[in-house]
Amino acid sequence: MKKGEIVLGAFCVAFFSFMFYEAFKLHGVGRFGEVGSGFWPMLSLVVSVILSLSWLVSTFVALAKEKGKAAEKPTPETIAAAGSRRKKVALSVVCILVYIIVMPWIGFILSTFLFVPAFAIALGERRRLVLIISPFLITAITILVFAKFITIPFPKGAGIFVEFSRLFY
Amino acid sequence: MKKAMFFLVVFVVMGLVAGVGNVSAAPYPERAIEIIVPFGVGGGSDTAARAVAEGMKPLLKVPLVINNMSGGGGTKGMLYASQQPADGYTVLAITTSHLIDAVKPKTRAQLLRDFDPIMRIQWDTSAVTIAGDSKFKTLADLIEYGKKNPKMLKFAGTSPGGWSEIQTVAFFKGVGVDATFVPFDSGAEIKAAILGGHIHGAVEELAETLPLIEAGKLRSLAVIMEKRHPALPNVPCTAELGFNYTHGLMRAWGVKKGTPPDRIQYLHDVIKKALDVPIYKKFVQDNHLYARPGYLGPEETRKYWDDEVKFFTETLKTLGYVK
Amino acid sequence: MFDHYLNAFATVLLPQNILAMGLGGLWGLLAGALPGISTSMGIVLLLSFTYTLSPITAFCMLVAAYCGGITGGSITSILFGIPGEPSSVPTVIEGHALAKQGHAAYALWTFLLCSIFGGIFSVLVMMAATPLIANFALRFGPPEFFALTILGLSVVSGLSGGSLLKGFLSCFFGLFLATIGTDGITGGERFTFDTMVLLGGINFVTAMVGLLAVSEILIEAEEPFKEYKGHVGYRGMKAEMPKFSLFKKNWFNLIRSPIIGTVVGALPGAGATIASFLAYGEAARTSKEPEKFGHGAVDGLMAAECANNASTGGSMTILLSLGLPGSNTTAMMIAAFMIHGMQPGPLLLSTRPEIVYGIFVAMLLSNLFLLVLTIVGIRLFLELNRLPYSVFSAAIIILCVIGAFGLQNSMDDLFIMFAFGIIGYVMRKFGIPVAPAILALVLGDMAELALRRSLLLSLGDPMILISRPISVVLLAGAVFSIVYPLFKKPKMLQEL
Repeated sequence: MKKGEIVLGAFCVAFFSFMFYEAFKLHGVGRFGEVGSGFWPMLSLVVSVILSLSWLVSTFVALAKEKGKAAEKPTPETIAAAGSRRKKVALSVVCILVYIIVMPWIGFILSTFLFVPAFAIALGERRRLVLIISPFLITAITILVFAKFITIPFPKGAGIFVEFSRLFY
Repeated sequence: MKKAMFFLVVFVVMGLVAGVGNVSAAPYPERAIEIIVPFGVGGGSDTAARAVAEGMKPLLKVPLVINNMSGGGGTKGMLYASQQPADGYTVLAITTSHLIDAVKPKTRAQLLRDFDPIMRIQWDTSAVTIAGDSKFKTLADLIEYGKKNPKMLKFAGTSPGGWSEIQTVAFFKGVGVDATFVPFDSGAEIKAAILGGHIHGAVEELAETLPLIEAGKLRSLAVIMEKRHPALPNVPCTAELGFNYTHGLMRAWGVKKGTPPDRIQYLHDVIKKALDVPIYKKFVQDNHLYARPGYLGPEETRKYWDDEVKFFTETLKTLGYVK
Repeated sequence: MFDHYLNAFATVLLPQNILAMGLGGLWGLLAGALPGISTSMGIVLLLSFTYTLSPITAFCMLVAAYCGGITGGSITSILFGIPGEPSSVPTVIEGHALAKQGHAAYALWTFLLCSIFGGIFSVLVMMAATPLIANFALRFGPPEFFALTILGLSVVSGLSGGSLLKGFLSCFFGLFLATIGTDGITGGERFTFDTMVLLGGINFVTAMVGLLAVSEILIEAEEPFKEYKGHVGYRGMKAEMPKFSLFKKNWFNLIRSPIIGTVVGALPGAGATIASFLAYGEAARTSKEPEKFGHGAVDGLMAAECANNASTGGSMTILLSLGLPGSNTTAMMIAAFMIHGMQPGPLLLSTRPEIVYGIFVAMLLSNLFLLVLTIVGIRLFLELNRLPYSVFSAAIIILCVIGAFGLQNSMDDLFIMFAFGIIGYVMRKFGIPVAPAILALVLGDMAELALRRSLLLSLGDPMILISRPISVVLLAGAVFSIVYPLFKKPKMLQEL
């Protein structure tokens, strides 16, 4: 975990520093009398850089202290468990991302219908009945409540998908 | 068994839902017309658009769908409308802020280039408003103080670099005063700040401040118009005070350029009729929009737009927003 | 005045008005509980039905919908962890934590009783002291707003959980996020990198849904597969009824929070969000068990819910006395007044007293109605834990998507939500609390604009910030609440 903290801390320092550089360009933009467009962002970014630097340093210090003690060797089982955990999270992230990327192209109704079983499988669902029923159920309820009843103008898709979506909402 | 029953119900419902939208080649309009309101629910543009739509509904066989797409000061919705097919099924509710955006577009869409007007619907009136217990009794008092104390006169508004700042600054420039413009987030905050004595006043649309003016909590020094406003017969107008400045907030509807002229004509005729429906007339009455005619035909609207954009270009240049 | 109230009660208790309140309350609860439709939108959709009603019946319906909307949002927050409005973030943090521990019914009871209490408290204050509150609210100019937002931000140390360093890092990250988009003073663009997506800034509802709800689903995805959602199994409503001693123990909290809610709710532009965070922060600071905050602290939930609902009274006060909307939702109410030929403003009380007193009474009664309606509604919602876990998670993601999309009907918001889901996941993995970032995102913008407005007013003289009595008191409170925990909990300093 410590390794991860160092990577994230370093990323924070880099990110906030870059944004500070961007904020510096705003320096001097403003109206008469006030502190200007760049003041507040620069203030918050400087503090952010300092805070993430001190986090990084304190992590290093803690790491150096721990060096003396014998680190617990991870067993193959824990490594495998961590691997499968990561795989599940990565799969669910991909599912959500694909869902929102394809939505404008194939329409809300079809993408939702496909998302439900895909996401359930990514989470480890294997019961066939659940995988078959749930997409129909959730899509029907969602369309009825949100597209029909409170008329949210969901994306209908492009090309033939528009015609398909218009059948329902 | 229970599950199977539920299944059945779901399918029946989906079938019913599907049956509603039948596909056939009928003359325009054959399906719902979408009105893009590029501002949030409940704002001035939204209520105005809804009032017109309410009047149109009985005249149309197809549904009207209002789609609020706020963001980027109205430009996000405009960009979306410019990306839809030019088939007359997507109508954009346009306000003065789109004309200002046309000077220096924030997005790939530009009003004059990408849209054709259907008509101008409303033309609002603004007024110079101060607190009821203010030490300024007349507009002349205010101007005199402003001329003696540059920057000390503080006036509030809503959109920095937008309509609110332009009308405030253009007015004060016109009378030779260097005032400080303080932007706030909403009309309610501005009125609270005037009432609380935190700011001198604001140049704002009249209708919103009228109840407070009638109660004596606020006072109007001048209405920005070529004649006096019927709701405030005792308040002078800018024209009689000798300033040639009568600009007001405009609301119009338009469609993407390239829409067939017969469809524009059809929409124009329907909206024109909707403006005579009682429900819309009540809206005009409530919002005091009767002071000057809002309606302009498509050709006149385009000319009006061109003139306004020219005026805004000049004002923004003096403010330093464009070079 | 007594006559007026008597008449108002007689009118509001007519059968058609009671029916209107029931329907309005139900619709409000639904609008509040469903993502993708905010309370203010719920009111707009209801408006077209009120055209034909008599004015008082129409307002019974709308007022009930308004109170119901504020209440309904908390059901979704507690059970699914999806915040509908920024003011329900504390409810998500504490209430959803309780639900995850299997005490959903307990959290729902507490929220319900407290929000009804807060609502009624504020209506009573409003009945007694409308002009007083209105005049006090008007004394808040930009310098006072700045002080108030700083006081709100000072709550951060209470939200930080284990490490102050990480809490402040999260807070300043949020402050930076709040500056993205169009600058409210100059109108120029900041950190948009010439894209359209960020032009309007980061909408805090979108960010909140990502940071709290989406990241939660990702965290749960790591855990071993469960067949059903309620793995601990929610206990029933009866078993989880909170004991009277809970309220007795928190009596001071129960008085302080609605007062904060009513007063802050009356400030145009501040409203329920600052109110609930302030009350929550105060509860965290004075709590006997501060370590519980973030992990299901009942007193935090109580404070936030009281203040949240009490803000309705404050908001209506300023609307009825001055015609100024304190929130989006009350702005919709103005339209309702106009439909029925009235203009809310200082003259309303003298020209149409029956309407104003009727609204007072309708608010009081609709809070009582909501108690009944919500208890029935909660039972239905609790049934959802019988859903298979995987389907439940998918449904929550879909609700998040609808919630983020419905805000501006824009696909861009979905990507922002997704990005914040990832950011929230990483933050949680490394023990960085997300609540301070949300708090700063909501308040940061207000704080910056208030500071710059103050300086515009004083032509650059910073003394304006500390030369006015209200702002001095508020700023002193902010300093105290930042410094105090450092002495109270020296252990946290070591964590630095």
